[in-house]
Amino acid sequence: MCTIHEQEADTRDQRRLGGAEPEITSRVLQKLLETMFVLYVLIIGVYSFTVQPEEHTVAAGNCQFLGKHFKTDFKVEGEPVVLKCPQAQYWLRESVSPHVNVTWHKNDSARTIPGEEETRMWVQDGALWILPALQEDAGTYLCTVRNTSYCDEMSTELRIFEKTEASLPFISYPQILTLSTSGSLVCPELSEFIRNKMDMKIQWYKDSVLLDQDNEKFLSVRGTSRLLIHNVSVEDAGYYSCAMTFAHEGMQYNVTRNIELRVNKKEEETIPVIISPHQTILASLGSRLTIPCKVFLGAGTHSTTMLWWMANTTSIESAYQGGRVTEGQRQEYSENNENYIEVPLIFDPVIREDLNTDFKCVVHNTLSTQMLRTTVKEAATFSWGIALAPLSLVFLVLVGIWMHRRYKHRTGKTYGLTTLKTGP
Amino acid sequence: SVLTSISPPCHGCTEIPHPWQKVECGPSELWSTQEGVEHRVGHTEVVSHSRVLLHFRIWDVNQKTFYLRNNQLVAGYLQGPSTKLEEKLNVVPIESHAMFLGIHGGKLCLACVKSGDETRLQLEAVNITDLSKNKEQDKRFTFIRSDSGPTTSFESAACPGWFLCTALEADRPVSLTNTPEEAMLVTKFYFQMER
Repeated sequence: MCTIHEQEADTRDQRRLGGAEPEITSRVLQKLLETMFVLYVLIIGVYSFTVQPEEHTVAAGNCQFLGKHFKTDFKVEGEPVVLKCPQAQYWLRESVSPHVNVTWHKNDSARTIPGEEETRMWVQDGALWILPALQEDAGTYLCTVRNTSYCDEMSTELRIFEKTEASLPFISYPQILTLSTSGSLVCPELSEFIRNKMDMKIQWYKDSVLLDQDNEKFLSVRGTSRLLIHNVSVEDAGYYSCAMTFAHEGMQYNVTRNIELRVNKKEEETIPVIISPHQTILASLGSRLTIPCKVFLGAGTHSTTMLWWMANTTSIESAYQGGRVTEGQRQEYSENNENYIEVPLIFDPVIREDLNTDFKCVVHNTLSTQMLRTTVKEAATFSWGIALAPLSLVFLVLVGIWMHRRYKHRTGKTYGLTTLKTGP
Repeated sequence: SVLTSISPPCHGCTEIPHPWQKVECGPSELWSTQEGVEHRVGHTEVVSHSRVLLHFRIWDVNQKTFYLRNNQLVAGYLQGPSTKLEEKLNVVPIESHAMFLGIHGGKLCLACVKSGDETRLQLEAVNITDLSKNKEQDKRFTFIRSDSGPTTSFESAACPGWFLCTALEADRPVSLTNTPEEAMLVTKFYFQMER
């Protein structure tokens, strides 16, 4: 804002001094000199800024520390380990900046690794290779990424375990398959060791027993790191390991990964079906009324199914804040292995207003939403009929008796006449 | 408020534009009221009468789970004690097969955002239970679930033809693709409710 005002003031000044040319020239010259000075300062500043980091490549003092990588590497003794620089992965992969320099330090030591005489370690594409990893390699590693204008660093932790059963909870990758379906286990984090996918040979073990390749149950899919398991059963759960060999400078190293397979039963969802109430419910005004909404789920789970009532377009709670109409307790039950849910709508009591309200039972899960409308009809008109029924019955009976008597009387007469006629 | 852009789309995603499709909608008046009390029914958290917040576990058919790395949702393999970093999906079902998806207790929501030729998955810092299916601006948070055998795919309602995907490679961002059949991508997920 300030600069804008100054500029405005300047233009006004210039307009006022329209005729005084020498003054303007000196002003312009002064401005030019000022601009040149500012430019000079800027150039010097930018130059020093860009050059500085290059001069202090090794010193980490001016480098931004991004913190500790959230993922700890849990590896097995005697195997190859590749520590990826956590913050540099994007840089290196996308070649955003091709001239980045990656260096590694261990446990706050100023000495970069690998050291001069280190033969087990080297840096390749920014990642630190340790081959083979020993217990002493465990610790915190600091990765520094630097280019001409930028520097950052991040630490990552490596833990080395003995190849024993006790290590399994730390080194295992949990994987989950669904009961009675087919699915795959995947041998994870092998990409650095795979040079040609088609040559990849992974051996799979369950509880340290090699899985037979001709097994119908397990199939190691060629060219992938997957183990296909047919028709997963509860017994398939447990510890698996996958192993491949990695050759380096004439030496063969084993790379193993441990997997803990858990077998889940899928919570099945079905499309719910509302089986009651009827479209109209008869009730007498002033009396208590319960309309159950009953939903059939079959094999579907109760837990993801929502069931509620609405009055026109409003929830029951907000429509009847006084609590005259309420939703009753939800009931979940099974009959012959088929699941049902029920939520009653309770009127205490029914009033005339309810006859003009659209009550809806709504059931909803992630597969479907169903709705059933119901209306309350007054049963009072029918109660008149019920009251009249016995009266009309009595009346009918009386009429019947009367007619019968009359008829009997008449037939009696006729009979008499006939008798007279047919008599001798 | 956009917290972070999750990722550029999966390889080759931006090349084929997909025509806009209308999303099937259920009875609209059903969701017109959002008021209601919080209570629990069974294992389901009832936010209001028409809202229910469910918790699902998601992992792709290659057994990669989701986790956050620098505010970016990535899919990879978590080991031993690191498994506690796994992000579960918070789900608000809105109608037949349609749902809002969130992570981090429903504080970050998954959205499909189109800008120019680019279609991408975005994590936005909105509360999943504040989303409404009636608001056009909330449509980007809607995903349509389709099941095939034990696995589930998620198509964006705002970006028809775009599916939630992970890369074959581990620790790569979760994103969206319009070429779900591509071999380098995974669009099939195991999606199971947490008890």
